[in-house]
Amino acid sequence: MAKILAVDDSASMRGMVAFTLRGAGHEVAEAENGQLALDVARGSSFDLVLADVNMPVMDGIAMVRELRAMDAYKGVPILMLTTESHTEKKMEGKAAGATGWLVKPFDPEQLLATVKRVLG
Amino acid sequence: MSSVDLTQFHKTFFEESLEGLDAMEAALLALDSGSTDGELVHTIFRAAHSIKGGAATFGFTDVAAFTHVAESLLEEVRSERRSIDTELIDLLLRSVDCLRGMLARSRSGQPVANAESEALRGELVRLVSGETAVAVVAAAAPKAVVTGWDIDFSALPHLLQTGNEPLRVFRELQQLGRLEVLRAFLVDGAPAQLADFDPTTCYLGWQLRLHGDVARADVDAVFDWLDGDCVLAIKPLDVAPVAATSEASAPAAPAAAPVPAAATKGAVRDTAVASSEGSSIRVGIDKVDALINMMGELVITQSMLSDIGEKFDMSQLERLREGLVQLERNTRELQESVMRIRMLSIASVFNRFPRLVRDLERKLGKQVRLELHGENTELDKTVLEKIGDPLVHLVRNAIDHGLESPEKRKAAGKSETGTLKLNAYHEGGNIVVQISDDGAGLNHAAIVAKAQQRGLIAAGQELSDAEVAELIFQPGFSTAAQATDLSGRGVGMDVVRRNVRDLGGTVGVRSVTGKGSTFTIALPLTLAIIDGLVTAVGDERYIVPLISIVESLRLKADTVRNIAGGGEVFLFRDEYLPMMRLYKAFGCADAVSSIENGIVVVVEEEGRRVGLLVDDLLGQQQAVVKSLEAHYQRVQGISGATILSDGSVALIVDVSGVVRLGQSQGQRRKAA
Repeated sequence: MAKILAVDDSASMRGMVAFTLRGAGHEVAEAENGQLALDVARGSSFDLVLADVNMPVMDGIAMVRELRAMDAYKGVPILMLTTESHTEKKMEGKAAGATGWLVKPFDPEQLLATVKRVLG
Repeated sequence: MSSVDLTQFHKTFFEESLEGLDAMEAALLALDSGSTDGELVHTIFRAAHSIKGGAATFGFTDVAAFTHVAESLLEEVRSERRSIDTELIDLLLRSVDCLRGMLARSRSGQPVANAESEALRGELVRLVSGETAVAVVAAAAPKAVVTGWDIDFSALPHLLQTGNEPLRVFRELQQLGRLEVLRAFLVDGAPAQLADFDPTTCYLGWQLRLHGDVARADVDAVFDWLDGDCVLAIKPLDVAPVAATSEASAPAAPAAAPVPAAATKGAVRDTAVASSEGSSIRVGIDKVDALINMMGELVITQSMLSDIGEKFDMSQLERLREGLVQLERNTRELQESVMRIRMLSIASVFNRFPRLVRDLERKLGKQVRLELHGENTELDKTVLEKIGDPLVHLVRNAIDHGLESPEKRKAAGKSETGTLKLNAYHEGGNIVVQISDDGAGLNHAAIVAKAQQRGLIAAGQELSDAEVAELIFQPGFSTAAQATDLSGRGVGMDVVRRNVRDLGGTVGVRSVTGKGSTFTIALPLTLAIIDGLVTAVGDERYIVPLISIVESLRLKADTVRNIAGGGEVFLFRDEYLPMMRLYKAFGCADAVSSIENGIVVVVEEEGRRVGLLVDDLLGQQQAVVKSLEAHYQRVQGISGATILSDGSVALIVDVSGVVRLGQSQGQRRKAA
């Protein structure tokens, strides 16, 4: 099963994502903002990164840009967890190098379906 | 139905949402007081955004809908399409209040939206320029029967570098219908030599044909993430070609469609569990580490002692003593560490006040500068939860009655803006919270007049400043000429004092006419440990909380009188107090029954006093309070139990309960 990094400043969202993914047998690491996620990412390797866009300290967009600048994360799928009201954020995320997005709100099935979509 | 139970995250969601609202409120107030810190707007936006996302995910649709509009408004502020002014701050502050209410109702499973929230949402909607309040989900395109699609898909070189994968596209298209690859080709600009190919760059393009009655939106959904990563042309088979797009279009539509279904599902589930949540506490990791560290020390000491115990002879007595001293130290430190876990900073209470002060300023036409000191002072969670209301009352009073209007202040030669200072600090084993204002101070003449009118003091009685100040804590006392809707809520200073007393604390006031007043609340660090006087009654031990004790004395038999109705009273400082024989009240055998041989402990609660007859006083001791209710059942006159050093159990006297018992037994009378 895959190693996934879940990044969100909201403990409830992060908890839901992590719990759902662990339930599906994945190994999940958590981080509560972009900066902490980079620290975690440097110390390990992941098959997929799921990141919220709006976060304090370092937002998801900046995090994607930093991750893409790291050799180990050049081709790793990164999905932004975003809300439908921010189409421009999706594009900003794409421009920074994100693979795609998952629109909030999503339920556990949608999350798993999307993860499956990326991981094949 | 989902296989994952989302309700387990509700508690976290509520907690973080309430924290978000607090942050939002603080940032709004900072903006209101003229701060231009750009980060404030981001903080406010982020809080609204998170609440919206969480609310929608966990099925609180009303909260999500409300926050959505607020967020749209904030987005305009953030992108500088709207300037922030006092009116907008007002509206947003009201929204914060409204959301708190909505969250509380969500939590308890009540209907969430009400007339108030709907009205406020309407206001927000009207303000948001050209906004249609609820997100418009793109209408599904009219569906024509098609036999398939021709898809020209050329990757841009960076496609792989965004973590995307053409194979995924093929896989997903195959799930929609039968996929035929008509041709694969190298895109323009691909290297001529295979050796020059870069593995992270994509040079391929495909002509695909998808057979079957597949909706265009489904095909678009496959390519949604590739927007900007490829050149795409999708044409229906056998149908007149429509304008080809070079980009995947309307990605939002398919993705957003499942939303309402998910939201409803969550809402149904939510009501069932809302009320079954327990109270939790957030503990800093440093406190937990300290605890673990302490535990380690204790284990070392324990193994050392058992080592001594196994092969003990008198030569090791010194080591045993040392070990016991160490054990005592470890235990004390462990106790302190455990206590510290229940300690929270008073900031959570203090943080309410900027908002309260702002509202009062407006309502009363006063100017107030609020100073907060010692916000990091920690106190017991239970104390913290209960001290909020008394503090709010004191702050209201200070602004309503203490601080003067700007005109009066000017006339008195003071700055037009009054200062209200809240200060919290440790002093001895207590937490002290002070509320001081630089207002007019207590109005002695008015207080004395009122007290005479109420019959609390005799006409012409001379009173010291301290005695006058004490009068305002008398039940039913209020000096405001007419009760304002702020302070005059039927709650007086007597209630403040009672609330503080219930927490085992004291409250007093110091006032200088023309200079202001300072209310000082002293609270115990924790409710779990009390200072008590150990008394003997027969073979039993009873602990009387020190804070309630006025005096202990030995009486002569003839000072005690029987009164009609069966009670006993005795003369104490010109006042007849009811006498309670504890051995009678609690049914103890072999106790001292003659007044001369026993000792009377005079205790006071809410200004009422009774004497408790006990056999003897054994000494003062800190008692760790164990709940009787948790282990046995509630007993009138007893607030809990504790274990004494000899291992026996002592009951802790509930002074207010005993006073009530005493009051029903005898009448307190003024000595003639």
